[in-house]
Amino acid sequence: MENTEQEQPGLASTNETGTQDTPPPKSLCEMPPEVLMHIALALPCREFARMLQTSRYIHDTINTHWIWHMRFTTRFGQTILQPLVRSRTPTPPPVSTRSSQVLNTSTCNENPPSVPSAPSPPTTENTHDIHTEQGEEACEAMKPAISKGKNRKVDLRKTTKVSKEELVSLYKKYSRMILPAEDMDIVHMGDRYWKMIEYPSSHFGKLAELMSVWWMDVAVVFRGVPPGRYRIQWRLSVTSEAPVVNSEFRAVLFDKDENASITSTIPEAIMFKPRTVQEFTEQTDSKVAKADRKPFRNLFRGFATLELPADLVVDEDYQNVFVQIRNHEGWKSGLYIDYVRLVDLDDPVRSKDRIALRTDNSGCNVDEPVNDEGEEYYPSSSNSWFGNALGFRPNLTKNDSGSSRRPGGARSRAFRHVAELSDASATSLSPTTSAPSSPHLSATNTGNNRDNQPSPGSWYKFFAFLVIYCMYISWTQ
Amino acid sequence: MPVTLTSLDDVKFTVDKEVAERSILIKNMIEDVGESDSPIPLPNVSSAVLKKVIEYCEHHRNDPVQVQDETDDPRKRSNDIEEWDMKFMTVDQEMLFEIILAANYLDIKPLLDVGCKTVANIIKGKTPEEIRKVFNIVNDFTPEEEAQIKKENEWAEDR
Repeated sequence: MENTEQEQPGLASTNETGTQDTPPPKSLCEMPPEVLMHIALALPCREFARMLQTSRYIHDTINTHWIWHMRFTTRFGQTILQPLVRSRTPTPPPVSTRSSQVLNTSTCNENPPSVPSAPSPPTTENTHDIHTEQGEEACEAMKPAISKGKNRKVDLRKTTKVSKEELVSLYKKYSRMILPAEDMDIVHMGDRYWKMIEYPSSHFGKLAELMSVWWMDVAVVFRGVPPGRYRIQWRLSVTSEAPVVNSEFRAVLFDKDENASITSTIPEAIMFKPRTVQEFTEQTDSKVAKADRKPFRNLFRGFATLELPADLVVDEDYQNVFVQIRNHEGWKSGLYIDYVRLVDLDDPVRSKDRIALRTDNSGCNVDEPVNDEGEEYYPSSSNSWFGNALGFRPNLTKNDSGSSRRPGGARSRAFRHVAELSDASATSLSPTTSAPSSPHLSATNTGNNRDNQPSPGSWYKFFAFLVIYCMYISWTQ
Repeated sequence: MPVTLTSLDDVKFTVDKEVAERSILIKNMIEDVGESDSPIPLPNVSSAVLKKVIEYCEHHRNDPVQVQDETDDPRKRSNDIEEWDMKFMTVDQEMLFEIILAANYLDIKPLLDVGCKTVANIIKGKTPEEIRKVFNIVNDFTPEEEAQIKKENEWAEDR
């Protein structure tokens, strides 16, 4: 490069045309609108919202339909908007079905058969209809052959009919980094196997309760996850080892313009399959000591956060993250799900949400005996078995507050306990552990899990009374 | 074939045509003028800024030319800046703004991208008040408007 300096560069001098030079801008507000928009598109979500709050000019310049449309399609792709667009455009004449077979179809959205004694797997490996609300048929019919990766060509004109308010609302919904159980796709969710329960002290006020199921499959998708490193956390309450031991906690990354069903064909990014309770609890923040001491003992006091033991790395572009808990063998019960969350390790504020794992918890002595007072050892199912076997029901103790068996009684008592105490010292939830008997019995008894459960003390008193009664009878005869 | 560029303050810079044509504006002007030795005036760009812009174009002279089309896949994230570019953009805020304006005027998209990403990286982690302070933005919202906008956008704090 050669340069010939004929003049010293100066400030605000008059040039050859005689016009006054424009002094350099000193404020961001003095930048032209197209530059501000360019900067706004480069900002992450949080900083974009903060920039909106700086001044009127900036707010009016960047809070536009065009900006939101660009931000949305950059992060979440266009496919997710197509059902909205389709509903507003006239139905085109029928075309060859070859064009509608672009996506692999997860059209088998039916839940597996729900006969307890004959569990059978669903007809496809992944039955999740993550895109139900978007209309899978609409996606398949409208979606062109989209090329992948950085060279993807997108036609933004196709989705500009979506209003700014809708775009903002959808952006708000899909950008969440913490997803409640209510938004998860849980196979067999209903009243019999899984159910949603109100639980005020949980993060979202509701929990997904596993009563008893064979085909356990819980899945959810985080959409448009920005590039970076993350940790996946599940907030759970576990009252039995069956739902967690040998269950697969997995995460799969997939393109934002693809259907979640593709995750069955992609290698998973993370797979955690604890073989023992110890292996599971080591990845949680819960203080558990000798969880295997007693049968049917609740594993945790209140809730525990499970953090999958690997970083989830999203590189180059926004991607969707499919997160799943699955276990398709054996009956299991005793699991409560609050939420699943992605913790951004690259953010100095959000990375503080990482948990202190039990193995790192220097305050936890694994040999320290656990104060079991108040713990409930026996599931309500065995309680009812006892009653059914003897033909009567034992009297409940004062711990039950004198209440007789009533639906929801044990649960309300457990909730009262947990509501009164913090998670660290909370008593266990009502155990709904898998009964040791046959699946038929445990399925029958799932409905009895609501019954009140007497404390061990009441059993001792009952047996003592029985012995004394028998002695009295023998003496009098 | 060399091309002569004249800055706002009449400083002449002679560069290769290939380097100059990293600017779509200059490229179009050359095509319009045809074969000519007359310098190309750039009255909106001072010599100091033009020098920096030419330095950038020289370094990236062999990069593939990006097709500037709205249908291209939208932009990359903010932290996707090369090391050389990052050092290149380590300038005071005034120069940074001037480089961005020059890139916008000269239609050099990669340089505009880098400049805007650099500003975005400065904004990262800052509250609205801190952003105003760094970039000399006057808050012309009323307290009520400010509170309302803050409430409307508080959902984004944990996104």
